Amino acid sequence: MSAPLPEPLAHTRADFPLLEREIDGRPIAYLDSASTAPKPRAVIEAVLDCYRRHTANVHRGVHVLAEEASEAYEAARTEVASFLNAAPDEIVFTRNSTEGVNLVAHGLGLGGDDEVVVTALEHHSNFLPWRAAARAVAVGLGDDGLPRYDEVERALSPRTRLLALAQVPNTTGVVAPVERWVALARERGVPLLVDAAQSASHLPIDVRALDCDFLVLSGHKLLGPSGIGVLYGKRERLAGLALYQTGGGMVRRHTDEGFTPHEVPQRFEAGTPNIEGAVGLGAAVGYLRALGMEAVRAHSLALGRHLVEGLREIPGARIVAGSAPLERRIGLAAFTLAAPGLGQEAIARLLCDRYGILLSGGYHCAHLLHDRLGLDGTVRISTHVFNTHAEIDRALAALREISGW
Amino acid sequence: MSAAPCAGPRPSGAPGARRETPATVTPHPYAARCAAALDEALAAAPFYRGWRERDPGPTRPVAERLAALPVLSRRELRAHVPDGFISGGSRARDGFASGAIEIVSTSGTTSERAAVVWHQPWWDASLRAAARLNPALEAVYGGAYREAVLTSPMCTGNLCHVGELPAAERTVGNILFLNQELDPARWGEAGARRMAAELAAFRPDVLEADPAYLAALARACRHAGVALHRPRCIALTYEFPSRLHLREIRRAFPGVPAVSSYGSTETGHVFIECEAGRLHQNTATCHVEIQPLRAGRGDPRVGRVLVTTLGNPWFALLRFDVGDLARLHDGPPCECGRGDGLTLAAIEGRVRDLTFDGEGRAVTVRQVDDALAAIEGLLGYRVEQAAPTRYLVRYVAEPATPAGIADELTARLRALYGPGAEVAARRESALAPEGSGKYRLAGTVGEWNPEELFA
Ligand SMILES: Cc1ncc(COP(=O)(O)O)c(C=O)c1O
Ligand SMILES: [Zn+2]
Repeated sequence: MSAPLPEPLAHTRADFPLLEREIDGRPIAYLDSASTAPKPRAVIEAVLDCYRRHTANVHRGVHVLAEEASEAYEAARTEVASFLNAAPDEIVFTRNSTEGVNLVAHGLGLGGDDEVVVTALEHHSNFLPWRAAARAVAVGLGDDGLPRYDEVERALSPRTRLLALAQVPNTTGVVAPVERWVALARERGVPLLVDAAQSASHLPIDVRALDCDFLVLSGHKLLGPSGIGVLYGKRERLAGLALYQTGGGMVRRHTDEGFTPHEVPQRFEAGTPNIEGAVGLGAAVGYLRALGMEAVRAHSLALGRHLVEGLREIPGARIVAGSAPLERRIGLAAFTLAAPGLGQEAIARLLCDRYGILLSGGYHCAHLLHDRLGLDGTVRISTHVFNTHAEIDRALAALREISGW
Repeated sequence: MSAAPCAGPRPSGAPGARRETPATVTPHPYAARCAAALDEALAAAPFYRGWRERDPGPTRPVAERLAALPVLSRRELRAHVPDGFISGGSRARDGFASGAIEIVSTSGTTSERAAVVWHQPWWDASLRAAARLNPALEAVYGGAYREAVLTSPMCTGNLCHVGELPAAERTVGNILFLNQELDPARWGEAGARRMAAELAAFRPDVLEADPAYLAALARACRHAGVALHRPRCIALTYEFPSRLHLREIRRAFPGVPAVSSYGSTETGHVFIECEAGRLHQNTATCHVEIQPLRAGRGDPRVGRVLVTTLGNPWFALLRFDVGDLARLHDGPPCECGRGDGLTLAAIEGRVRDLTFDGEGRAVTVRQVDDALAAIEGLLGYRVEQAAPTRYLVRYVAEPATPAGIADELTARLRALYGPGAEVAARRESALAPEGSGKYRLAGTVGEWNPEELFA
């Protein structure tokens, strides 16, 4: 036995009431944050506080509670802006990452001949909106599922209108060479969108340094509520997008002659927004900033390394993008396990039912990846700040037991 | 009724299917087979190690020995499948490697989820033996047959990946799986017409159906003016058959015997309805105890179904609590002449769907159904008990049904639950199935401990 590994963020466990849940009298190991993450008390309290103390609409009220609600909503925007090193007016609140991508796909006014360069394993949310609006040209995959990011140049054409990729795909857990794609986008004068749905929980993100044009993320994976997400866009890029939805809240003036929309970001926030969602997301981001995103990254990389090294030692385990260097992996891995009598989804169910380990089994909204690798689903373990090496060991031990049946 | 398997392999029906394992129906007398199953499980299946000391030993009658043991629940299956329940020196690894077994999951919330070691030859034996308990089933399952299945697609796995499949891809060997929707309310007329057309083209000998789903199909086809292919018989399984559903099914399939078949993925086929309308135990592959409700907690002829499987070398269940209630037949022997094992007057529904009257006595789903099913125009209902004497009945009725139906519902429920019952009725546009695909007909809003109910 080697010495126990350091668990620098283990103190955060006490902040997550969900982790007290038991199944059949066994404490759960929550290893499914890539699907959606548990919420810390700070977020739960912030949301409850909206209901208990400041229920009112934003941006239109005259009374005190309306001012409080507006202030809390805008404070959340500022908090998110600081988290990404953006300006508040570059932050549009959406429902989730999916809506952010759709907003851009719609706003660019793409046509049938236009091309958007993606990778073949993008989440459906960063693939189908492009496919529906234009032609999606996908960079291929290596034998183990790692995208051939270097082939991006060959995918570009005079018809390319945008590049879009996940900073960390939800099936590989490997940090993508976004800088290289950004450089090419700059050369060609086309915008680039980063899907940060996964990465935002694991890496510090600086949109200025990254120099991306758009970036999307989802509150619910970032320890925040569901139904709230963020679209970051450079000011001039956002201003260049066609209106997405019209209605109250997005309009400055409406006369018989026509209407004038607000400036960004309000022009993209038609209708009463998810106020408590935004406030909860602000609290989530504040929670992560207090931990320090460098510490969060170090922890995620350590868990990712531990997970993949452990999986490599299990006979019959095959890791998606297993060839990627450990130092580029976050705490997420999808894999198949050759266990007689059991498909991948059945393995995921069994881990829940027999071991109290909650993780994903299936296609993870990436059908092309599974089709290309000929896989009938994969199992996915994914971590967040509260997970420990000991929990990874618990999952590995269960997988080892199953593979040995 | 509990689920027949919806995931995993299905009975092939084809003669000469894998039969390398002896198909369990050995000539020994029933009591000897029960004792052998008990001895073997206690001696060799790892999970039962902790049960051995409770066994009064082989000199005592089997019934007494079983009664001394604890009850097995899905919770233990979740924790100990596969290795815990394999007896007779078999090893899971060998079974998987040879293809003799695989693991099948049942779905639902915690109380219903389980993992099961699936051994096809045993399942086939269970089906063949059970079919002998009803001539209409025997006529079909005794030879080669074609079967259509209509139930929730819940257990067919990755719906999101599979999407809508053409009929050819939903046909596995001799079996066509008709439904792909999680909620039959979404079928619409187009969905009903598709299934009717597929039935007409496939011409199954037997239609195995969840009664709620089949009633929904029958109703949709009646409104669309579409006739349904008449199979040689209908096997109703998967969940409790409401008389509302039976009425609709009989109307759509005049002259076709609709036979209740009670079993589960875990236990195989346990009870089959005979020509006389009672249910007889399948003594070939299981032993059954009906553990009665405690005195004062309900009708003492009603109890929970505990199944001990016989002759399955890969999955030995002792006193497995299926989660359902049954009512023992207590008259003279059934006129059909069958007398092996237990005879039931009825299956009474799930334990978790019990409600309680003003005195705290359990009211079964069947009792609720008996009270409500005759109401003219009623299409569906769900009774929810929110407090010891407070009940809400949600219901769906034919569009032309007069508003007086609400009074009739509340009056009948008051008669059922007692004079102190406060009953409200609320008309709904539809009632949705639970996550597992089953329709809950009754239940309490809060949790309660079922163990305290049984003697
Ligand atoms: C990489 C990636 N992109 C996009 C999404 C979509 O996120 P949402 O469903 O919150 O819109 C996900 C969610 O799993 C994801 O992992
Ligand atoms: Zn009979």
